[in-house]
Amino acid sequence: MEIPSWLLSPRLWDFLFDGVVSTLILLTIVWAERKIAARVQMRVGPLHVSPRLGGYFQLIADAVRFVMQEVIITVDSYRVLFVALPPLFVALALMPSFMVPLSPYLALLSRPSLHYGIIMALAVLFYLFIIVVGMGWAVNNRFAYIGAAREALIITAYEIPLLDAFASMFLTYRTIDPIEIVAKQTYIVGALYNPLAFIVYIIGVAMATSRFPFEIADYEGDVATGPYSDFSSIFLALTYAGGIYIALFSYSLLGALVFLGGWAPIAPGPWPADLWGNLAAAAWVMIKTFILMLFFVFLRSVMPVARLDHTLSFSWRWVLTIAVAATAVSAAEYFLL
Amino acid sequence: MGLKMEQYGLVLSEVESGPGGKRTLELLFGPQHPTSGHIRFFVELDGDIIVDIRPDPGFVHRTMEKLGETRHFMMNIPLFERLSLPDAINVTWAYSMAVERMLGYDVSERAEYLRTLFGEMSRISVHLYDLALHAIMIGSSTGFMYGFGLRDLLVNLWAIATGARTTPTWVLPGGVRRAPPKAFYERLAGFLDFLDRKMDEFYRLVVKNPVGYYRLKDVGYLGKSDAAAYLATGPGARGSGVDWDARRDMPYGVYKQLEWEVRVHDEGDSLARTLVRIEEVREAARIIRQLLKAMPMDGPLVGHNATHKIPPKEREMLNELVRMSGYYVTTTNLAEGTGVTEGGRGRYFFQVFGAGTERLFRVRISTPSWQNLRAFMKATIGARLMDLPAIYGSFGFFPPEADR
Repeated sequence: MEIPSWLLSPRLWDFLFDGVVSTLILLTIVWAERKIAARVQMRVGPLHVSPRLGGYFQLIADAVRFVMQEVIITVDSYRVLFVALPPLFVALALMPSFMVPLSPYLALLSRPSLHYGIIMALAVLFYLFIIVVGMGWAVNNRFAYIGAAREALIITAYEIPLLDAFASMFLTYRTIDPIEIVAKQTYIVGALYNPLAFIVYIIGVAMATSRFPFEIADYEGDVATGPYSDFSSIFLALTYAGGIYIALFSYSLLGALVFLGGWAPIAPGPWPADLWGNLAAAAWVMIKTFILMLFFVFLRSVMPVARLDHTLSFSWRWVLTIAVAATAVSAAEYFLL
Repeated sequence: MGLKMEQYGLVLSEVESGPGGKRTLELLFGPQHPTSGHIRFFVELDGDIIVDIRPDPGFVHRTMEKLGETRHFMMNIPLFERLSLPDAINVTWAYSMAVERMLGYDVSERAEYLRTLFGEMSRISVHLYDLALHAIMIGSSTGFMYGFGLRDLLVNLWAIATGARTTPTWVLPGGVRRAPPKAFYERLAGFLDFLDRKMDEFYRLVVKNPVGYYRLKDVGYLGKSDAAAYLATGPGARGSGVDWDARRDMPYGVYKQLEWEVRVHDEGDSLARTLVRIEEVREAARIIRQLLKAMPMDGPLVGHNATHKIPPKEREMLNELVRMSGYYVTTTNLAEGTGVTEGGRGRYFFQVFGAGTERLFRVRISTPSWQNLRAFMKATIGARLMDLPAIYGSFGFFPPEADR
């Protein structure tokens, strides 16, 4: 039987793989976050929905609940943005993962646009904060207002170091092309090329996706989940309870490509060039992404929330310094290697 | 406040006030807020700094003092317990002490030991409760679960001894209601060992953790003279260097015969108050270990005078449990009595006035949270908004107890 050529299209498979696997990873990561926290905290965690699977379907039950819940739009909110921004948040958070390749052939974009994939992905991800600030403005509530102001303050603190970390890696690899970047990590991954940049990346992503200890804009303690405080039901699932994990997924995918070697195989040698080989390479990328995400969600179990001013001064004073040092390391590598 | 709906949002939210006409933002913090508890604060913010804060308590005012006049004085014990359920024993102990002094009852030696033991367990319970809430207020869910997980073991011990996890209703005028079974003593020792180990972990996870440390360090400063002037009590005072503890300075129970220290820290910040709590948990464990050795295992549960109120047939089991029918036919004297105990959050004070009937003429209650409220407000002014939960938790402010 002849297989139609569109069925073997790399774009189709990239789209399907990214869509399906990212959904699975998101469900698993939320479940893992709860289970890890429960393990640390002498609890059981989600269990009673599907006890044999360790309560994995609790996530499905929660998702159904979010969808079925009444949508409440507060009276004095700006209704257009209130409704429009949460879907936009998810769209912007998920879009970057379609801009980078998952294997040498699996990619939605083709050259020359694929060449700029990582840059475009970062650019889109940095737009997320505008959505958050917009939500804080749209709900018209003082807690949301303060949370939005905090979000705006924090992006100034993490944006430059995070960009600098990626720029350092581009300097080390002498390219911005994602496929070439992965090819250069066959023996040594980026985190070993430039550990300082990796540290800056970890801190920057924790700030960008408000992981602990930087859950400041949506800190429950004083601003009651800040910009998201008046969202309920599906809107909450699209932003605070779900969308933020999608942003974390996109950031982690970039990190897996740039710092953890992407699909560079464990044993040297190229992946098979057929469909299964490419899917295996993509799965290897996703496993690395998942491990990075596991680290970020694990922080919730061990960290309190840092103070806003401490975070800002820490970021401007130390993270930026480390980022500059990372650039120096990369510059040395650029000339020496 | 009287804010209209359209004024509440961003549009007209800033008001001119304060010296120099500074533009400040008024934030209504509570009572429907994740960390406010049953109280509202009007927080006036200049940027990120709290320039003024006014408390609006009373959301859980249950007219405890008035209710205390409407029923038999024995029925007040389960009522006043609800002032502060985590600290149930110390509250009822203070009330029983006041009634004992009014009626002229004595307390049997065994009951004094048992009360001291349970009072220290109550202290551990309330400190774990407050430390847990403090941890979740500064964002550490692990500290929260540790505190409540440990406290669950403790309330199970209470259930063994008294039949109820959170409402023991165990202290009576003149003594205690039931003798704990052997299993209680056996499990208590194991619990204390586990507690010591887990408190070390809690300390490392929440307080020694650099993030948690800088959330608490130099936050919510309350000077020694301020703490004294605002009549702060409990860890709120001892964290500011005020060396006062009712257990030592107004002795009751068998504390005088035991070796223990009043824990005082001079720094006056949230960290000092938290450390006082953690160290008091360890001190309480130390006291309980001594009590387990010195505890008389047999003897009447109530004192001599109270025994004579109990019908002879019901006195037979007085070493195991107290039948309360005798109490219910007792009337109050035309006298007054006061009782002071040191609860986990500070000094409990009860004053009762007898009416000659079975009801009391008047009950006065002073609770530590209410006393700490002004010191808490004083410590909060000048802090940052993110510090408010850190200061709130460090005082262990408990609105149901403050509102009575």
